[in-house]
Amino acid sequence: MIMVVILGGGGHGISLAYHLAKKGVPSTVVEMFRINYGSSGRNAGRFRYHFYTRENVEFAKEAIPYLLKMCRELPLNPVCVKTGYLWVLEDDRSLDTIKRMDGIWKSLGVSGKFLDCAEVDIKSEAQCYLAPQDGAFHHDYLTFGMYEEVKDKVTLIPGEAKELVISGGKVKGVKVDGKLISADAVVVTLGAWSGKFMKENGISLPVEPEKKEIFITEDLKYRVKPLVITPKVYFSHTLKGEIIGGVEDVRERGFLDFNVSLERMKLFLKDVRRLVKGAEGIRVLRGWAGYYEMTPDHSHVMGYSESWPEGLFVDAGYSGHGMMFSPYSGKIMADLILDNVKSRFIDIFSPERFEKNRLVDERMVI
Amino acid sequence: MEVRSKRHGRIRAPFDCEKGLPYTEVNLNGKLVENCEPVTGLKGFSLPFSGMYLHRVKFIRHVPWLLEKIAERMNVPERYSALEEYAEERINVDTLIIGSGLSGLTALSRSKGILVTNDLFTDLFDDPLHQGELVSKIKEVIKQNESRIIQGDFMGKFTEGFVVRAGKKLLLISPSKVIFAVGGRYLPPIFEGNDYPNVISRRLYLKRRSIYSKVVVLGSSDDAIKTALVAGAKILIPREVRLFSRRYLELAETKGVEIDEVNFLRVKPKDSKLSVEWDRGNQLVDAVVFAPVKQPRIESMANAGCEYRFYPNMGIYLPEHEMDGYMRSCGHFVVGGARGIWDDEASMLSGEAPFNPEALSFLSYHLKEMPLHEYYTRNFVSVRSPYYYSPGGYACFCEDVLWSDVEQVTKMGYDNVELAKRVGGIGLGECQGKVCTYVTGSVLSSQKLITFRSPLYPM
Ligand SMILES: Cc1cc2nc3c(=O)[nH]c(=O)nc-3n(C[C@H](O)[C@H](O)[C@H](O)COP(=O)(O)OP(=O)(O)OC[C@H]3O[C@@H](n4cnc5c(N)ncnc54)[C@H](O)[C@@H]3O)c2cc1C
Repeated sequence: MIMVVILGGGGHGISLAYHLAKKGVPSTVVEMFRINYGSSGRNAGRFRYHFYTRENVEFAKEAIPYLLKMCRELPLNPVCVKTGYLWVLEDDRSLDTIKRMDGIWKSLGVSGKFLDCAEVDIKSEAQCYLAPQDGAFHHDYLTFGMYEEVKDKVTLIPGEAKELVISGGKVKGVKVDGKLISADAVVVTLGAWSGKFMKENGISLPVEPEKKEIFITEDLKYRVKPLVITPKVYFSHTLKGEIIGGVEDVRERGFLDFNVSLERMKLFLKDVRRLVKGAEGIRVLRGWAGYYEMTPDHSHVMGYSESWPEGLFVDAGYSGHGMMFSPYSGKIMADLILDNVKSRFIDIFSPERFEKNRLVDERMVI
Repeated sequence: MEVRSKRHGRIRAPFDCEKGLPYTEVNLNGKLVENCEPVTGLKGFSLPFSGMYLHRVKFIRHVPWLLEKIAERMNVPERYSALEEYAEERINVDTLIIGSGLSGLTALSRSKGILVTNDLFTDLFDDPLHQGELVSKIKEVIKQNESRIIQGDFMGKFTEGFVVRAGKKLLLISPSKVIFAVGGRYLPPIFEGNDYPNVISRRLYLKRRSIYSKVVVLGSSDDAIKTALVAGAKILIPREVRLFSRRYLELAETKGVEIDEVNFLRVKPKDSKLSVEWDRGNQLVDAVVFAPVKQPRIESMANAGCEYRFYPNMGIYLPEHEMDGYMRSCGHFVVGGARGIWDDEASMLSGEAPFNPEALSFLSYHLKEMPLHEYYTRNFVSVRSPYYYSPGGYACFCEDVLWSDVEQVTKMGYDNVELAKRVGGIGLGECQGKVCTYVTGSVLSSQKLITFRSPLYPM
């Protein structure tokens, strides 16, 4: 039987292990800290169909129903709920963008609607745009739910994967803390760490970390259903009563430390207090940081490249929207690795696109 | 003030009035009010359902509106009135001392630093066993150094530096050295009924002594003996868990304090009293007072990047430190209760230790008599947790997580605190794990707790 070694125990690595196990194939997952240590344990837990590119919308149209189906089946309940995404169009730029997108989204069958923000209890005079198909889920319950289902078929190896072992143009395994783990296939699902690992093994894969901070408030009676997106921040209400969200800003790439800043905390609080009824004096309970996994076109990378050693695969680089896609991506990757079934998305999101200049220019990074 | 818990609607009151602990602050029509009132009515309708139903009852997943309806019915505030903005100010300090117990004040009198505290008059002042001499000495230190004491909250580390909230100001501080004198706390043990009002810490009991006539004491520490002496009460300890020093055991014996080992413990309200039942006895009391072991307030040190470890000999978490209090991992110091010391003399010596080698040798001699000693000799031996009396009760009071839920997730293999948080939902409520993570961790012998994130208090 094929020996598959998966590097990284986030949503994508565990999803792949899940789908391999469902096909009867056990696998090994190498994780340097713990399951969901990376972005999969640090995200906002929201799903959407509404992307800038047709390719990503089409991907979502398959991936989100798949996520919702998994939500009904897993042994832990990832609490998938349709809440909508709500853009608060307070400046011309966001108004223009959404007006343009509305037409495209309509043609793709995921139309939203313009309304007064007040209609959805948001204290703004501006127009709002509601995308009702989108929603929320619980990131840890998703990953641990998949893991729980197949854990007897997954070997978890704690440690840092360092060196790919290659012979005769083929992948033979990977070294973890000096110890060789043999493999017929090695899959890189290292999230923001993917580019670094590949580079250390002499392969260029343009995935870089960008630090993002995220905050959560004390409890307020559940009232803001959708994820609210203003020109500066995004936030949403959890079923537990907290308001979770962060600041949309671009900063230097790199593995910055996980501290949070007063500056961003204040920006986040400012919009929450301004826009949510009853939250005028709400306070932050905690903040944390994680990495978006940035590619040059902000779309993910999945599959392999002809120029790579045989048996090396990747599934990474989802910027700020990879958690929702983890169930479906794991399925596509399992079909590819075990059955050589190539989804059309393997071509679209191939790592070769950067050389062939077939970028999927995704501009809606939230 | 009657407070109902968030999910189960249980009547709750603070078990200790330390700022930031469960139910010490209540939202009344949008205004935040400090709450440290005793509660008399103990019974009320509540629904202690297991949080695991969310996963187990598949039906829930097919009625998406159900969870929204439940969310709308939770006991959480309707609104928060607008607050004044804070002014920010950067201040230059070489040494920052956090906390004003014996050790912190001793360190202050020895250094040129600034001391930040949100509880200037610690329980030291409430303990009738304290000689007047010590208390007046400490009052003197406070008086002489008033200008260097800031009343405020240490909010933790941010990109901008350490943040202290003092009145309407946020002070940004980047000191070269921090002395953590944050002390320790008594946390409620695990048993059925552990969340009832009037199940309280030794600290709160000392403040309220006059209103309780009959109590029972839970705890395996010297402070449990001290409490029993003050209260004229019996002590219940979990089977085989004795963390007493020889001196206090002898004291207990001469004063006739009874110490009973317990395999089973249950507390139930009976009128305005609590009925306490254990294997070989029962009592009707006004309060159940606990002092299982004093757990250092690790969260502020961990937040500042200082490492800590599980010390299995006492079932507590200790910052990794040397005899003089130096924490190599972060370059700061720890003194007093924050390093596990509960004895007055040792506490003062530990406040001197960073400045005075002579105090250091006294301190090391002094600690030889205590169960802390093996931390320094690295002679680690596991004991049963001082928090575990018998199954039942609540693991987390803020989010109403039952102890049986923690048992369920540990059986699934998620057997450390971080995983019990991720899968079982502890450590995510209003107090951000200042209670449940330590207790759960001690019972599970978890090597690590959770990441204690900034801010350390709601901000
Ligand atoms: C603040 C924030 C908010 C977000 N919000 C959303 C959202 O609302 N919706 C959404 O869908 N997505 C969101 N995302 C994005 C999403 O979290 C990620 O795209 C997704 O989790 C990536 O999953 P992964 O499994 O590929 O990577 P990760 O979860 O990062 O997993 C990679 C794992 O690899 C491990 N690792 C790294 N190097 C090594 C090594 N050398 N050896 C062994 N192990 C190693 C790490 O410890 C980590 O556990 C957000 C991200 C952030 C940071």
